[in-house]
Amino acid sequence: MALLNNLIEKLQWLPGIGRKTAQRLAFFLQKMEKARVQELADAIVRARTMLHECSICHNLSEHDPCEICRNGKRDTDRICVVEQPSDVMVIERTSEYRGTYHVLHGVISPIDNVGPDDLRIRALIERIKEHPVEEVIIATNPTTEGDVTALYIAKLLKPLGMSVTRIARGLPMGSDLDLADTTTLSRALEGRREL
Amino acid sequence: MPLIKIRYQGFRNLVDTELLFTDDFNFIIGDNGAGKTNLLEAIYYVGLASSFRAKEEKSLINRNCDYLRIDAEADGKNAAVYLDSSRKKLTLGGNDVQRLGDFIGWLGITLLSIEDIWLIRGSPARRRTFLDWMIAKLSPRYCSTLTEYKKIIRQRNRALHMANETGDRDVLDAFDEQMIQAGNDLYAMREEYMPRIKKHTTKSGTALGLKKLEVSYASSCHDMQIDRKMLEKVRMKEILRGHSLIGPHRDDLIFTLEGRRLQDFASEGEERSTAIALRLAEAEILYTQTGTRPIMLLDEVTAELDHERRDAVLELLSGQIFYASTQLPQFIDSLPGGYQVLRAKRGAFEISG
Repeated sequence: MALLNNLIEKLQWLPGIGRKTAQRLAFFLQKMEKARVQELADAIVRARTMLHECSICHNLSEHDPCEICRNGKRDTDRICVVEQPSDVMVIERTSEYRGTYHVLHGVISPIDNVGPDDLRIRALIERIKEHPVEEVIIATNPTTEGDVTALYIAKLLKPLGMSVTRIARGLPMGSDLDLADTTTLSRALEGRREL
Repeated sequence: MPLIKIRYQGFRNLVDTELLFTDDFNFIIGDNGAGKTNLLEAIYYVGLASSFRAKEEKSLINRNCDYLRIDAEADGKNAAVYLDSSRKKLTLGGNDVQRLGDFIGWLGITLLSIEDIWLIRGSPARRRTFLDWMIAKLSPRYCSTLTEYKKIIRQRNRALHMANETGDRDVLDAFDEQMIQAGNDLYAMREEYMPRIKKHTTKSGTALGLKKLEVSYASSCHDMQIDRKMLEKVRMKEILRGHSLIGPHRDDLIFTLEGRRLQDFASEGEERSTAIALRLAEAEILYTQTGTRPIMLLDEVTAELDHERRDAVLELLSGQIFYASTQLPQFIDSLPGGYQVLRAKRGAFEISG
């Protein structure tokens, strides 16, 4: 059982995987075809070794600069600042945004000992000083830490003379008002717009 | 709004069961340790999703159980609280509720406990907790702003430490802005409720024989408003101490009797009565604001009071009452309305009357 226990223990390194789930996954892997298991293992190792931070936007990519930064059709006058590479994926899926990105890899959170220098904030300022842009859209999460990070970045960017915007917060589409929690609703009211 | 039914599993030492209550007096009688306070706590927990005495919420789960669950029904509404070692789930009318503030208004509750004397004698934190809960019961927005504000302060205190080490103030500036916004939101809502708290406290104080009992708000910020200038003024001190020194989290309530500070001279009886006046004021405000009477949980409240004050308190009670005590009180014979007696023994209850 040593091999199995070892696998279960290691699976628990992953976020959101507790003992029970790890056990289930471990036993599931034993039933899979050996080739498929190899495929999975290879995919994990390849992704981890071949992906790097793009030297411009700090998104993860196997190329440097990344596909988005190299794409001549993207609007380089606009930078959307996000917390994580996964946020880039989410926004890309909308196909609405044609500008570029900047990935911070976290948010300012003093209780977790994360300050501005632990993020890619300085790199953002340098990037903009070198290639000025028209607008920076800050799309960090609407949490205490996401908001503080947004305020902090806005303060640094304002003197550089571009427009700094924050994404709106509001109600999920297609759902009823009475299903929204009161905080979301009152924030949505605060951010109302003339029709 | 009377509580009709409660059903609990795995809650402290209580034996899993379902109990039905009367709209008037529910006497919970038994020896110490028989489960009286635990039942009050179960009612409180399903109403407000928190405990009035457990420091560690998980200690509410019975030692032999993996989880606890309480279901309650009141006037066509039903709610449930579930807790295990990894999560807590709140449901209202069968729907999951994500935010505490959207849950705690469902059942109006006021608790009067023998421990309430610490509202007067204890640290300012106790009085702030009272004030915060009172407003949170009425305003989901207050509840969520308060949660956010507390988080901001925790982060800001760390940011003060960092500023002391690195000399960099920019992060702190960003937290200041958030603190000012959330803090002023809290101030505005406290300011809105203070006149009502004052009025009703004086009124119930008079009924309890306290002459000119007055409560006032002692703010660490001028005019209950916080701004950048005030924070600038305490900046050095804050950085040195690594603590946020002004704001709604540093304020207090002051009690006076005929203009004199209560803490300076009052007898124990006067202190107890003041605490009761404050709780009764809360019940009145909940009633006038929501149109339904909160249920009242009384934990040995009258035990330490003299006869006159005890009668006065009983006179002021209305709505559905849960009265926990070691002995059945004498006034039971003179009750105009109905009542039932729940006799507690080793975590189980036997209903009569």
